[in-house]
Amino acid sequence: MSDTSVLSPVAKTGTVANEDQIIDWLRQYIGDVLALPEDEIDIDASFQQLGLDSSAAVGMTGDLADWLGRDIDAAAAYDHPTIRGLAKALVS
Amino acid sequence: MTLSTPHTGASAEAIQHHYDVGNQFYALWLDPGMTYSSALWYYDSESLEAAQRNKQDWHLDRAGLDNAERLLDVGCGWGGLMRRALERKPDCHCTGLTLSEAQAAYINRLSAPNIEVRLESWADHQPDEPYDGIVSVGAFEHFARLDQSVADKIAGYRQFFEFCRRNLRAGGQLSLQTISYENASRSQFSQFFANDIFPESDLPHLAEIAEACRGIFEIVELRNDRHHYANTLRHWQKNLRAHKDEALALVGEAKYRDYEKYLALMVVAFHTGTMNLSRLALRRLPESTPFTSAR
Ligand SMILES: C[S@@+](CC[C@H](N)C(=O)[O-])C[C@H]1O[C@@H](n2cnc3c(N)ncnc32)[C@H](O)[C@@H]1O
Repeated sequence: MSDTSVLSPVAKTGTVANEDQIIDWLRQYIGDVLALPEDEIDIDASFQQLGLDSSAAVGMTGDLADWLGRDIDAAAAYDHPTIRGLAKALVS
Repeated sequence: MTLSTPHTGASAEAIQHHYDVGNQFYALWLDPGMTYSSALWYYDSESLEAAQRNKQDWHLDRAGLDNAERLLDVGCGWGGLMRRALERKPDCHCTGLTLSEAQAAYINRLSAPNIEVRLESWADHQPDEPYDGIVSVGAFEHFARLDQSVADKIAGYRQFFEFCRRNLRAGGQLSLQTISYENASRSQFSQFFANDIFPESDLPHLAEIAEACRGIFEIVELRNDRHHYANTLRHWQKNLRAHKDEALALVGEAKYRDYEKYLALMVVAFHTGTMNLSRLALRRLPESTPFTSAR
């Protein structure tokens, strides 16, 4: 688990989340990592455009997997390189 | 410790930084044969263990095991490939080189007949007799350093190929497996890899291997199998996660996180093609060249 405060109120494993909730989680997470206000985070911009490096991207994927309590491929954020795209892929 | 630092590549200290984290820790997530390199799948349904055996057999076949009496494994890790060689050909004599004390101790404890492990770099190895075949899997990655110029790096690789030619009988084959740069360059080599995981190491580009072996070995076969490495890493990730508590008890939180991150970054690198996994079968060229006319 990441030590970001956004995660603490959330169940650690087995969260059932819909696309919007995953979008919110990713927005908060990235806002936290990059110290940006959430409303400046475009959910259709690529993770790279947003400023995540590869370490941050695999960290995010791992923390998201922990939050959802399921496996997510380490390369998921490369196959689905935007917040919206990744959230969609994870619920489909 | 009396190991001398090889002319090129990572020092014994740097190798031990990585491999001496502990045999027990690696045993938690590698296959039972303790193979620490990409496997080879012929069918998706094959287990990691079966795919590691495929990989070992691929190299043993190309090194000419069936007709070999003496086989060298440069960078033998925990010795799995030599054990496989003896399963197939019990009278073959196998020599393995490693810079890791933990690996050498592990192999010695198994005291298998016909396996000799030496805590020695290839740069210092001087056998009494030539070998019939040489295999090197997942060690070439350590034969150059990031702080070398490209020319020095290739010269270092060339020394390795010269070592192999010197110690291989005429017509003998070398089977080599290494991670290579594909759609990336050394300047993009992540600082995390460079500092925390594989200190003092740099990867080759395929063209550098071809350049370094020119006139010494001919490339008989080449396979680029990055997806096989990505798959191997996914198995390791799964095993590591399944043994998380034991791993934490053995190495602590920070090391555990490092390995989790390293495995994930490697999956990404192979999946996206920044790195590749190259397997090469190389045949020793004759030393003589056509006579040139005196006139
Ligand atoms: C990733 S491990 C691979 C081990 C084994 N071949 C396998 O596939 O499981 C790399 C190995 O290369 C060895 N190594 C690195 N540099 C070496 C050198 N200059 N001479 C001999 N062995 C070396 C390390 O000690 C280690 O055993």
